[in-house]
Amino acid sequence: MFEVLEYPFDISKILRKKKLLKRHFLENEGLVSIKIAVLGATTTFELIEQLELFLLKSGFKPIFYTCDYAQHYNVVIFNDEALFNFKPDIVYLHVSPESIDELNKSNKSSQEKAQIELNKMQKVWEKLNTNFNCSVIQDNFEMPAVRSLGNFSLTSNTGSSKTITFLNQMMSQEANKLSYLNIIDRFYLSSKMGLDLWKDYSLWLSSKYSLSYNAITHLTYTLSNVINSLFGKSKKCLVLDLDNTLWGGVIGDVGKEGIDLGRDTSIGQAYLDFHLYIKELKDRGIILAVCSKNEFETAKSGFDHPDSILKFEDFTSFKANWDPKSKNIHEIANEINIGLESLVFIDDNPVERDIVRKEFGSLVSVPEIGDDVVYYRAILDGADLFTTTSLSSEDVKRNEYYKSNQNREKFLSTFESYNEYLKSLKMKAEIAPYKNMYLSRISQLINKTNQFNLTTRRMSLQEVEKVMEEKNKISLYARLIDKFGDNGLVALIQGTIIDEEIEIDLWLMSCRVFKRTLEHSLLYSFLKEAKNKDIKTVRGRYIPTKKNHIVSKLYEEMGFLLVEENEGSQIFEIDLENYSIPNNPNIVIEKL
Amino acid sequence: MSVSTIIEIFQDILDVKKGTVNLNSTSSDIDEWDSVATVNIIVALEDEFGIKFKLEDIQEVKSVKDFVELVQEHKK
Repeated sequence: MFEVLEYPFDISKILRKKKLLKRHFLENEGLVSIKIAVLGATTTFELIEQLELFLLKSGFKPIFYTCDYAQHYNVVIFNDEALFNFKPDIVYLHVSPESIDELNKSNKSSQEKAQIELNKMQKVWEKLNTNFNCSVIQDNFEMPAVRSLGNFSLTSNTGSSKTITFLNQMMSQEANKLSYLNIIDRFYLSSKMGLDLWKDYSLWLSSKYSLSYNAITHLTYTLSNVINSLFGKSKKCLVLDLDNTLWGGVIGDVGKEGIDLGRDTSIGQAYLDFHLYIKELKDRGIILAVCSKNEFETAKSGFDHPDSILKFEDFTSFKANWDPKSKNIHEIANEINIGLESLVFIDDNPVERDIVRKEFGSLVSVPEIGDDVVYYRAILDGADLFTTTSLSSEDVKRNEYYKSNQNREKFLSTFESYNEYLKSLKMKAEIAPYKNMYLSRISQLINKTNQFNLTTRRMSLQEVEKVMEEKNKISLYARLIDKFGDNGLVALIQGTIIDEEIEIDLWLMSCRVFKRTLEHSLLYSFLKEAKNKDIKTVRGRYIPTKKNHIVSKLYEEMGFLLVEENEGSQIFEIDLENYSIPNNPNIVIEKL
Repeated sequence: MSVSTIIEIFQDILDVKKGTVNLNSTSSDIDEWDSVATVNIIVALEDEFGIKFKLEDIQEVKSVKDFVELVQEHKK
């Protein structure tokens, strides 16, 4: 049923089955509540209903605040009480060319008109950030549907097309500067769909919708992807079938020489372009995996084809066998050590797509890619599943990290004991208070880490910034380096001081470095910091979730005592005055 | 064009049990039928039958029957 919400959407079905879908999604357990203020310059009813569906599908339970028609700026500037009490996690400003004052007046230059509009927006953004410390998402603008200046509208000093071009440019510059501001690229979406389909003038006249229903679905989908990304829910791994997905033909029948790939044929060129696109995804940090019904060696040989852009080494996990794909997908997730919800599955065979959907529900994304290579790239791109709001340098390096993890595993098998192995890794750690340059990585870790996470507390970039400023906080990050390479910034611990006590409100570590004892080093450094500040008692909390069982015994293992238990969560304490902080023999702490 | 398809569209969008909507139903008979749902119904009917209603026609419709007649007119 929910495949109607997979790109490319079945918009008629969405329209008809909205309420049924909503009831269906609400039955899911473990939905995460988020508070979203939708501030519309135009009507937002339909947008909210569809946004709710897309977010429910991603595991959120959104709660909405909406303003009266066209009060989008006023409720912020004049401190609407209901908005103030609502305390949004996210504010979305839904605007359109219709909401730009004087867009079509000729008494001011395009530059002036754009600047006036930008000034208004800036005031609103700043106020939202000060009042709520929340993420702000705002639409940029499509070109005006009608232009009395015609083609000259882009060149003329007062033209509306020119005004919008200026304004969009100014907005992306602002978003680049302000970490809390994110732009929904309506300009791109409308160009892709075409303005005639993007707008519905009679819907505007009858109900003041600035978009057609079709456009609302596309805009809302992009908005939901940006929200997913802000909460660390973007997809991380692309799982690919081979025959008729990455090359034409069945390699088991026609052999490496017989597959269709490369510039010699037009179909071969399409597969080649798909390779290039996937390689670009890999280069920006998306992990690649193969899941194919084939003999392993035969499947592997396809990537020795002289025209193949993708090489066997590009894949972090490579499953070519005759097991059911659902089993292989489980194994791929285990091998890479990521959740099923991080996977996107691409297969030309509708039966396989259906089986994977049945097995994993809406957890694994399965775009309706079809069986014609001509459209694969456009559909995967339109699905926009890897969308991000910022690229941290860790993203770009992710593939290297996972690759060196595999080397480590091979190396491990040559050792008698695990301790011997740990020593041989020659690990060094950099442990220090949160720094501005790591802000985006820190916030990413906080919002993505599910397994090694004691409290699963999520925080926005702005909240992390605040922690860095506050005097009563101790916050530390850890980077880990070993003989196979740099693992990057992979662990965090953070606590709040109250008098002579400190409570650890966040302690987490990336699965990339499980079982390396880095958590010991990080805790010891934290305890030292606390001792330096004359703290007498350290308190830790374990809040169980479906995914963090791995740390359920951690505090006990580290010598903390259980002091309280309520509603499943446990509180532990350690008496710092009578505790001598050990050193971790496996990891050398590097001085900065 | 079948009347039952149109009734089904109403049922889906209003999310009500079979039998709740009949030809004589109007928005005052069914709680779920508000102005937001009306816009939804219009767009869904246009989509289903590949037609575009005139603005003036939409302002006149009250009952399911009115919608059926409007679709019939457009399909002529």
